[in-house]
Amino acid sequence: MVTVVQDFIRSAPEGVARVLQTLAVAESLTDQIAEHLYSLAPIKGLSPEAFVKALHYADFIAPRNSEWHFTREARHQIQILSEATGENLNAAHKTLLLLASEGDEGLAGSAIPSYLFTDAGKAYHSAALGEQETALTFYRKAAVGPLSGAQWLASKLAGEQEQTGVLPASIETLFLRAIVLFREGKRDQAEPLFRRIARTDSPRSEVAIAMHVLGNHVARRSPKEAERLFRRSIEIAAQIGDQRGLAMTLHSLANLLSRDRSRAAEAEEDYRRSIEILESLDDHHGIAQTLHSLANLLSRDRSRAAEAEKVYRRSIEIRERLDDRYGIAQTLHSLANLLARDRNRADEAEEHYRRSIEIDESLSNLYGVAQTLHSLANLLARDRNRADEAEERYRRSIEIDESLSNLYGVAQTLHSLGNLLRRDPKRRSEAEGLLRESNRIGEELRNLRHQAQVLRSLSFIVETRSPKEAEELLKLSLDLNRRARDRRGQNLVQESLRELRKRYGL
Amino acid sequence: MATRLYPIDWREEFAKLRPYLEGRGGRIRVRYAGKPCASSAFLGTLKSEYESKDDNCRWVSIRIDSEIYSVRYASGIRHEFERKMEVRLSAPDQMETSSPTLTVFSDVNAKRDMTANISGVILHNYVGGENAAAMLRNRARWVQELCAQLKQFLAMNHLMVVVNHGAPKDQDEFWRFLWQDALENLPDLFLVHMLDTTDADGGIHELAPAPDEELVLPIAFGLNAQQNAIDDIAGIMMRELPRMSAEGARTRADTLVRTHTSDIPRLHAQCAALLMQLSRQLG
Repeated sequence: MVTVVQDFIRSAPEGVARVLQTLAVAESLTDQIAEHLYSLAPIKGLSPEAFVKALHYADFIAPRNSEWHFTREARHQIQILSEATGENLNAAHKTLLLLASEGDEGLAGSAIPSYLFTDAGKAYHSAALGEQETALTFYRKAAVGPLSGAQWLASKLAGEQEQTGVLPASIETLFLRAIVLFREGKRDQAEPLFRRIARTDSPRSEVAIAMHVLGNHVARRSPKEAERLFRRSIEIAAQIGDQRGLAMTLHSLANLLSRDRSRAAEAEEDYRRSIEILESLDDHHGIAQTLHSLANLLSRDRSRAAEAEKVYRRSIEIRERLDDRYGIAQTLHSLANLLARDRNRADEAEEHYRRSIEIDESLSNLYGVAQTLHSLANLLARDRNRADEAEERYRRSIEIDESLSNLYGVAQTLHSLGNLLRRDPKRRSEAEGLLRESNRIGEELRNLRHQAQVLRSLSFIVETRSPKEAEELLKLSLDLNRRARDRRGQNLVQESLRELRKRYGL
Repeated sequence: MATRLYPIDWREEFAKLRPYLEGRGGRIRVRYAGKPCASSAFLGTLKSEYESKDDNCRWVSIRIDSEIYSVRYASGIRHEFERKMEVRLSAPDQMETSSPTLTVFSDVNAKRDMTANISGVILHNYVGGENAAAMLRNRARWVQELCAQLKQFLAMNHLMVVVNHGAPKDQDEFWRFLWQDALENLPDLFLVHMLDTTDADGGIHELAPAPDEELVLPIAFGLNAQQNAIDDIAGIMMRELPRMSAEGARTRADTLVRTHTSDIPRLHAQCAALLMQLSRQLG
């Protein structure tokens, strides 16, 4: 089948394929620049203005806000034509590169395609002209800083140039593509790219970061691999003198180690080392975050609760100085979790939860609001006289998580709400429905640990009508805990099984 | 000055759009079944129809498109509003960024019994080591300022926002941060939401509004549409080629349409090719 573009080329004046190919070197165009490029390889007797004006009627041209581009499919079909000479194409790339360096940036997006003023545009046209070193320098620069459209474009163009062989796959381009995917939340697509970078084991910041990111990504399913990656990342960061990278990876390593109670001392040491480095860098934001994590670790040891509280308060103090309300809300939540353990300080805990929610609401941080409502409800649920208040919070938390499509949050809160309602014999069937729904979501998310916990809770309701079915649920829960390698969970379920069998003589 | 484009048929669709093209605010969803509907040409024409008015008002359109780098994320969309509409938004607060170099940040534990899922949108703020708080604060402020200025603008002028088809996930920043509780509160704004019904990864974002009206782009010309297309193409030729006779234009248009009744994209491309040929012949 002849494509629309091929058909157009057949019907349009001779030479149109050459012109299209010349125009398609640009990622996007304005009429002015299209006319300029047209003049590099014009069609005899057809003015640039008439050409560009007519071209706009074709459906393979897509309008932007003031610019336009060839649709992706059409651009690809045009790029593989062999009508324009190398000279034509080079002249077009040179023209665009010149505009990138000498054009008036005030005209970006109106008269001059704005992408030319980004690192992406400079890298793209430099690479096309064979200036690989320059191109890689621009692509490397493009990866720095927060996620932006220009960064996304750079990753797209780098991928295109790798695919067409204009550039070999390099650490710079792989990293750029990986970090954009990762920042967009497409972690599984980013992982193979990060692995390719990590395998080079070169003493470069991209490699250290790739190892750090990978370490965090695999930490749950493969803690040993994560530790190895973090440690190598730390070595590289130290070798190249990247103090900030070193501090951050120490933080991640400590987070990993802190999951294993027997390695708490090691974790603490790494947190403290990270804080020391951040202090030397005057990175208050980082210090506050690492203090928060350190306090989380300390708070697990009941004998160090006072110390943990002090560290949380230090973190909050720093965040208050920085007016980091997001961080304040988070740390207040954690501090409240700590205080809530002491029944005498429940009021204080409640006050902190409420403040945290208030701040998150003012920031429209619904995610945080939902989480803290869940914690607050857990606290209220302890007091039988406040069960209604707790239920209301749980339901609000679920509502918010549903609006955010945070299924895991929904599943967790359904579990807590189910546990609250099962206390009331009249509401057991309602509670059972909630727990079954929570388990269903857990199944959908393949979260074995969550399912194991919910099945155990469910068994307490089911045993009143069928001890045998409750026993089956507990066996299933035990199996899930084993598969999730959750030792604590296994012990709990075994204990529940023993008690059930004893109660009903099973 | 952007090239003025005229529609080739789409009479029914533009008739439904007429009140909005004359200045009414509202929300329209345009459904189309993939490439045969020539959605790019439709959007090019719609933009041109909207922006080319001979009155004392300003008619501005802004396209949101996750496949266009400059309007994929909220920060880029802000820039487009500043550039096209000359709104003045306050500069971001000086942020304490973690690093001038490449950095990542790890999750923190925020809950007693679970590790916080700092994911999705919030993760974006953290992974780069940016100060999430400052980013949230800055965005909330400029979105508020933008809405206030757009409200003033819309009192005298007109704005069309076109959200091109894309995966809901890729459009999340627009619907979540700019539409919800912000642009949605401007009743005089005209929103066009494009939806490709053949895209398996597509779908409607949960925060996209229910439309006041829905259009469905045709995939072929019916008898009336053929006649309209002939009239339209002849009209375009007469406007673009002053030396073209009315009869010549009509004959050419008739041949073109009759040979492309079931292929709208091809008809548009062939119209472009013919205009080039005739420009060359007639000067």
